[in-house]
Amino acid sequence: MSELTKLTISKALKALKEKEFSCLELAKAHIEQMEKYKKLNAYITETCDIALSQAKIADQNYSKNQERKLEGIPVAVKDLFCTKGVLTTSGSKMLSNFVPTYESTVSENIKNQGTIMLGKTNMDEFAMGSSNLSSYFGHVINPWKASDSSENLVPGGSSGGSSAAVSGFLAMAALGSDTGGSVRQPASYTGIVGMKPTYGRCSRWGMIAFASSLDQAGILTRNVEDAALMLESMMGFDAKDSTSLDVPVPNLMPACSKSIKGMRIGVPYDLMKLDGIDGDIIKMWQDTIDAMKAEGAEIIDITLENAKYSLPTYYVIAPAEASSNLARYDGIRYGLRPEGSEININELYELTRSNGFGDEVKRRIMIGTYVLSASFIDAYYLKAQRMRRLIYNDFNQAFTKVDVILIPTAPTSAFAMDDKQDDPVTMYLNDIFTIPASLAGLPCISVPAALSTNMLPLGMQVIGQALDEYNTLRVGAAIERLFSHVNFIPRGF
Amino acid sequence: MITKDEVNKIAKLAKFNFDEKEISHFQTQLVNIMSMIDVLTQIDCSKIEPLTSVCNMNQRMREDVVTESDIRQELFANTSGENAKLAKEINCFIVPKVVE
Amino acid sequence: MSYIVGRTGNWEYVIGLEVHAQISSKSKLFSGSSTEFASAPNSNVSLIDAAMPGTLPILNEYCVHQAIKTGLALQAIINTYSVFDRKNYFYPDLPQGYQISQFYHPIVQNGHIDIMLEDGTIKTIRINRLHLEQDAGKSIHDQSVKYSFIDLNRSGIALMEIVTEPDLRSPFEASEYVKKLRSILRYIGSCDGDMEKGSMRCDANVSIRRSSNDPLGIRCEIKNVNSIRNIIRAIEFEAARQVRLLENGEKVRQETRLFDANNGETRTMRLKEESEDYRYFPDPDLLPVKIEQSLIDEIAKNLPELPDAKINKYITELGLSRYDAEVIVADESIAIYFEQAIKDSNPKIIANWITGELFSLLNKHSITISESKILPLMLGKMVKLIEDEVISGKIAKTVFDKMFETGMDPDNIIQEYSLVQVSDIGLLTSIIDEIIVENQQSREDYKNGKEKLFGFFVGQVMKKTEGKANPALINKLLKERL
Repeated sequence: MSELTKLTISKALKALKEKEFSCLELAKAHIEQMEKYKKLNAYITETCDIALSQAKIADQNYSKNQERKLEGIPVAVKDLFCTKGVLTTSGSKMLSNFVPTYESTVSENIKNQGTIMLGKTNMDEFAMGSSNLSSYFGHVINPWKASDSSENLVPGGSSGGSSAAVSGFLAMAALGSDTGGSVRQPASYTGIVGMKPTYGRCSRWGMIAFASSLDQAGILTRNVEDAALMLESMMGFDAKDSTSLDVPVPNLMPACSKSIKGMRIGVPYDLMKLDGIDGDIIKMWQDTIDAMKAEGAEIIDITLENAKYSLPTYYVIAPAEASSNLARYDGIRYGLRPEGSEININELYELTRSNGFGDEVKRRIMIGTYVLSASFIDAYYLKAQRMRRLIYNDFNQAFTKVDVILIPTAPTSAFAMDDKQDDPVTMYLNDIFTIPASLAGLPCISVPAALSTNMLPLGMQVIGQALDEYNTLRVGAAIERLFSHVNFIPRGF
Repeated sequence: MITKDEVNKIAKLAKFNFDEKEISHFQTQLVNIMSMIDVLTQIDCSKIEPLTSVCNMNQRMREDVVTESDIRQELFANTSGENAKLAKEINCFIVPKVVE
Repeated sequence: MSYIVGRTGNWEYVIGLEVHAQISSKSKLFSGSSTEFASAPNSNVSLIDAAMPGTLPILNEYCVHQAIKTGLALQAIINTYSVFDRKNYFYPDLPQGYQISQFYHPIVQNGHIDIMLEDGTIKTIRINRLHLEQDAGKSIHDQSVKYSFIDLNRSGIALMEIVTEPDLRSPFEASEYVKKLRSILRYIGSCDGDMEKGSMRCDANVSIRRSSNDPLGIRCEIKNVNSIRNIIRAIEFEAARQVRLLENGEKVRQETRLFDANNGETRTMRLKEESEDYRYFPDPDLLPVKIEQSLIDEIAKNLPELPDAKINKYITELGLSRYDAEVIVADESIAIYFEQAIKDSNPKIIANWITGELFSLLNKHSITISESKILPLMLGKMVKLIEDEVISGKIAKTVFDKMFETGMDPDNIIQEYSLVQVSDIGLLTSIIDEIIVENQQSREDYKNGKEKLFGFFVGQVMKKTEGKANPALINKLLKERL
């Protein structure tokens, strides 16, 4: 039974079509795995009943030869996608009782292709974080452990639950969201594939907002081809979202088997000299470069001059937008409404918000409020937007010379849970490689490419031009092939 | 250097209720984070246009037709607290009396 | 010039007005909910209007067009690039915790409206900007002692905020500005201007100073002024209050005040510890609004004739007095009526009948001009009959009253009631001669100087002709025959 959970989506679809097993069996296998690994705390809400009834319908569709593109595939959904009739918390106490009466477009899209929802995954509160340590519903444990320690490790964040679920075979794919790296970084930490398409490719309707100009739905899978398959169903124009791009959804599967011979791969060598990057990461980077050269790709040195300002730029813009997006959480129409808050209107606001939000969220709202305040808006917010344009221009400039850009996903491997990163700034440095592509709205993928000295997965990141998911996946798949000899299954799974 | 007073002002704007300890805690953290951000103030990009969106397009507009209907049941499905029941009955959101 | 006479001398009013005009669209500015007045609270509220998590705004094209149209009618500049900004603050009738408005790049700038002052001169009131923004919901405070109830039906309806420079110098000027603005909005159809219903609301910024050589004083914003009359009352009270303060050596505190229509006073609104910092920034859920010049040109081409242009046309081309022109143009339905009625007859006479007899009857019966039975062409015919001397002005009054009552055509009325004026000289002469014969003594008296008796003879002719004799002819013939 447990072999069923190890299948890729493509293989599973083929097997289901050929009636090697049923959708019900596939769903049950996953539910069993979820039960076995409950301690990972990957799920906030398990929807086993829904999954089983969906599986039954899927089986009917196969028997009528009316199967849809993703019929019967068990998936997990990050808990910031509103799912109709199912608790949606965004990892927060504030929404711990919120049951939406509507569905997000992206989760609707994959549901319409026949996926089966196993549950809503754990995440950093309101998607703010890169460790899943800030969830109201507890930490998520990384299925991976270092070879030289028995400490529990973080799965990364904010899509920590989604990543742990896919990495630990508790789902075949999981919807995540990526604002500053929240799909790519946990993919790197958990040894799986994580991809964020071009900003505007996936609708944000029904996605609980963190930073509107950066948020984008992403996918976590165990191989690149599965990611391509899922994205084909997730992406698409939605008239309900003003920032949704009205462009056709490309055929992405074919990209996964194309050779990278003759492609121009950009490497910002100067970023290799940044502080705080593990030696293992540098080695992986170098090894990847060499392997690609051997495949016939051309490696070109590029400079992303303003990349070093990405972190401060992001940490002005994202909190600013978040401080405004989270102003609606006041307990009046939905969400937490603590006892004793009905004294007066100001008490209601203050008690609800002080009580309902965790530390990291409060911190970011404070920063956001500060940088938008009258005295500072020019110095910080407008300045950050100008810097954002410079970073955006850097990429455009680079893409006149190269097809994709190759950098690591994270500066380190997954760190220990008890490694209390008390200093928020240290925590923010986890995002240093993922933020630039977020600011520029570019498609990017993280693919496991090496194991660290103490046997933890490390991910390589490929960044493509706007709307070029095709070549992004193409190079990602190549990296996957180049390192297919490495075992990216966590020990014991 | 962000003063305790400024931290208090920001907290009030964001509708947070912090005690002395929390104010201190956030003050330290804000100072820390702002010093990371402050590098931005040293760069001159006055000649650069701010980038508000990576979407290279203009705001789409919709036709002036009524597409939504009465969804009062849905609207009040998630009200909670001691007045939730009353809110559902009268189909109004309830708050403590606001004095203008 | 209007002054407040204080204890220590005169003070000048300095007034700026902010008008919020609800756009006449069918659906809201950023959602597809209906804008129709609904008696049931929260029945026109969508997920977006209630700020449910994950919901997003989409811009209503009609609202943008109305803003452009209004900008053109206000002789303003239409910005081909404008942006929606978030105005962040907390209030229970503002579900998002921010209002989507326009701060840095409004859609319209630098317009003006001309008003006529009491002495007949024209004054230009400059308009700083017109921008689009969401209306807020309604808070109901009087249904419970402990609680306020929130109705979001109004939340998200499109508003045009129209802001003047502080150019107004008296409560009268303020009222004239609002009347003129309302008239323009109704003419172009972008807003119905109904202040009672709340589709047009006015906030007044009031300050005072000794003279125009002095800098502007501290101003107070007065909210909740819902009629022209109350605008005048509120400004008068507030200015007087400020004069008293300054003359007592105190300072005017910059604040927002509410107007209380019951006692005509303004009072401090909820105490704010410090002034709000709205932290305006471009809404990241929306993109910049780019407008093509061709769209602006198209809208300009289809703009109806505006009130001022119409007034001028009536004066210069039709010979109306400014007073009559202003009165008729003030209400578009009356102007339309007038323009139809004057097809074949004298505009000045038509104008007199409308502003005189017709208005009087409409008021008496509390109906509008469109509800009256007298159709424009009927009035026109009637006036033509007067001009052609078929009936006298006096008879016309009877005809008019009958038309109002029955809706009958004037020709038919004249036939039915035999009201045709008698202008047959031969007939009149013989009647006059008859009367002279019957009243020899009076004739003698008249010839001997009792001029007043002329009226008696006129009366007799009228009696014999049942009031139908042509008055001008009576005069002429009597003078000859007596």
